Amino acid sequence: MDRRMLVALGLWTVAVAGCETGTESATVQIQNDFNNPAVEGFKPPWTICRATYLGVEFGRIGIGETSAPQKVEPGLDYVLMVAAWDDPECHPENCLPIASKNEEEVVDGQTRTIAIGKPSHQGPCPPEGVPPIPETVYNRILELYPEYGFKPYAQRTENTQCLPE
Amino acid sequence: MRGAPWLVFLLLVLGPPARAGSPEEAPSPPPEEGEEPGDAAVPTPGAAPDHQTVIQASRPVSPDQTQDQVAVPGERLRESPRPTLLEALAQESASIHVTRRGVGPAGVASGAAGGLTVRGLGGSPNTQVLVVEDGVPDVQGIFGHPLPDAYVPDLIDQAVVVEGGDSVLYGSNAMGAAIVLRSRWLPEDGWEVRSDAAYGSFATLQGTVTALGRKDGWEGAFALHGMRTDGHRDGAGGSVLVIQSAGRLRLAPGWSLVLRNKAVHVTGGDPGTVQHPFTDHTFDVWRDNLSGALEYQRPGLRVTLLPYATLGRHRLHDGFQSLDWTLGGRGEVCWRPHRNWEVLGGVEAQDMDGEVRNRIQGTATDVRAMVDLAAWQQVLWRPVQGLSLVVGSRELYSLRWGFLWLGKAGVRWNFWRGWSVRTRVTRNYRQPTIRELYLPYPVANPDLRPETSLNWDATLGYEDFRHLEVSLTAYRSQARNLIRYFGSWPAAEVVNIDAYTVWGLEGRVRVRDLGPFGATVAGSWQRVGRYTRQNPEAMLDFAATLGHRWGSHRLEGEVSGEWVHGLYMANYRREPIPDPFFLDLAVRYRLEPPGKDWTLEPWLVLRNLMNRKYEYIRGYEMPGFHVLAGLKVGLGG
Repeated sequence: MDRRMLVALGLWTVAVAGCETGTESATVQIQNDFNNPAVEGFKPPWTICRATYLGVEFGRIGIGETSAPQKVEPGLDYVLMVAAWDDPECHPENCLPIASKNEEEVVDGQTRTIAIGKPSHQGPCPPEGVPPIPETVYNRILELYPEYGFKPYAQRTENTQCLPE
Repeated sequence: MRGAPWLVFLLLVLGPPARAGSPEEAPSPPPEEGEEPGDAAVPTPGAAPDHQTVIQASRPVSPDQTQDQVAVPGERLRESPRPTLLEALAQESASIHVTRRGVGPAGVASGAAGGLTVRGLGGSPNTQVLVVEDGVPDVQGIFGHPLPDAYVPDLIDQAVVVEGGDSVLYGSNAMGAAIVLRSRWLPEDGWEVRSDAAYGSFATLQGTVTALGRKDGWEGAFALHGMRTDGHRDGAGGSVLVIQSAGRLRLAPGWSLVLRNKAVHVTGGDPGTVQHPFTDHTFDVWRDNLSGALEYQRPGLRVTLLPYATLGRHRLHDGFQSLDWTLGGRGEVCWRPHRNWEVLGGVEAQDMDGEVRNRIQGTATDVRAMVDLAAWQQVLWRPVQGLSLVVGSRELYSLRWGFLWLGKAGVRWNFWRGWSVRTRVTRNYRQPTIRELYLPYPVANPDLRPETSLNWDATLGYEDFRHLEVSLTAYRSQARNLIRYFGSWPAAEVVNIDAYTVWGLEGRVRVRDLGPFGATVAGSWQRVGRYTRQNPEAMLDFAATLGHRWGSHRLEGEVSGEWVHGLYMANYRREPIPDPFFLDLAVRYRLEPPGKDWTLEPWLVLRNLMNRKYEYIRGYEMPGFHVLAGLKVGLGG
């Protein structure tokens, strides 16, 4: 075996190790899981009026429904939403900005349904058990959906839907 | 300083003439296959005339000479200032990252330390790094990881870290690396007793007694190791007890029978973060490993049968209790039909099972056993002096997911005066754990398949066999079908989906026996992509020793430390952790009176000399300056 063969073998191992494939996209659906029977206690009647994940709009998703699949660029982000309380018609006075509790991840080639339900969301009002939404996430929703006229973060609990009837 | 690189280059190129080839190709007759240290040192009475030269040599801990490995003698591990074996190994190689949280046990479950990452693979738990102890894979049956507190260096002859892993030889989990531990025996007839007791900060008390003996074909080894500490924070204390015993009987010429047992008991707790501390998140772990080995060897042939069993029990503060057991056996044949060829083949069967229940709620979760069968082959060919070619294959059949093929190919060429180049590509795997398949924490998926990786590395090295050792390695690890958890209860899922590629460079310079001086510097850099969780970008490990011997006295000091850069608590470069950096100082004095069979060795370890505040796990501050002082007494040997 001479040196050329060794060099060729070395190049082959690099080439074998270096093969990469990938579509760099993932398919995502968002599910309105606020009626999940596994969750005990009161189930908040949120209709998801608008939803954006990794820059892609998913539209309106009724309780128990799942959005149409969308291609997204793989990554990690919150699901940013406008949800209406007990209002399938999504009237602005019933709406609030909410987000997924955690940043959700999808990776290259994955098909994933992200379920948003009682234990997996956060919002601006202070109901029991719902974590407060961070300011940066809240502001991103306001930027995405200015037509709803949500109040600035400092007055987030004064949004109409937050106020007691 | 501008001339320094050229000076190093000149030193390397014009260094003193080195022995031709690697140690295994030194001009002396090759050691017989299968020889343990000292195996050939005692000729059979009446069989070897006085004028014959007896060659004493060790069988390589790992039989693949083309792999990239870091070999660490047991003595160095025993004298390391690091509190655990895994941390001591990490000091020797800059591609090994170990999570730490203090002086207490690493622990298990949430908040545990001892997570190992090698070349971007591993993590917590360590299911992509395998520990092999005397030929037995040490895997907790349900969660699929080794128990970091179970490894103590008392009886270790040598530890080898096979960087890049090798599932052909070692099977599941040897994906990022395999840590191969070999226990020691006495090299000749006699006995040896060592005692090492120490006390230090945080009411840390540790003690070890080892006893080894050899006479008339019987050999024994025993070690008792205990450690308890209050820890540097409330809830960080704990205790470790390890009892190891082994016996070897030479049945007839060429035949030997070995029986080993190791029992481990670890208690402690997760102290939580400094912001949200816990005092009651306790764990209690028992583990017992039992193995036997029947071995036949003659020149050019070695046959080994190795049955093993492990049993473990984990109890956590929240009521979780698991009992796990692994039963397995392997048979291996190593045959050297010609001086340039070596063929290795083996078969293995393993059954992993367990039971899980909650002691508080009285509920049990159903799990099913995992059974797999494997055969492997490795061929080593040395076509010319200095050149070694290795190819290997493992065929695996699992009753759970079917057939899987693994393979590897490597070359090592000692081309000129101590210079060598090597490269290897290997396809490794790890099987899903019982937890991932069946336990709802938070979700399970019985349809999971194994993760696989394709690892490549290449090394340029120089060794003058006297004072200097230099190596530079480039590597690439590409993992497929990674098992990942997504979402949260009640809509969580665990699936085989992700892929991951890491590139890296690592280098090592070792200077030894330059008068009283010795030093080791190891550095690494890697591009880890979005997988930044406990997967640092760069690491630097260094140690400098200064020793002086006069008469029967020896005084030695070592300063060592580690710097880690680009450490994050989460993927996607989230939750960055400031670069950990620390320095330790160890001082040892050894009295070895001539003609006496006893030694005295008081020692002192000063950890975190600069009293720096640093952490490896976010919110788990490492202890400031602290001290451990001990006395080692040796008898016999």
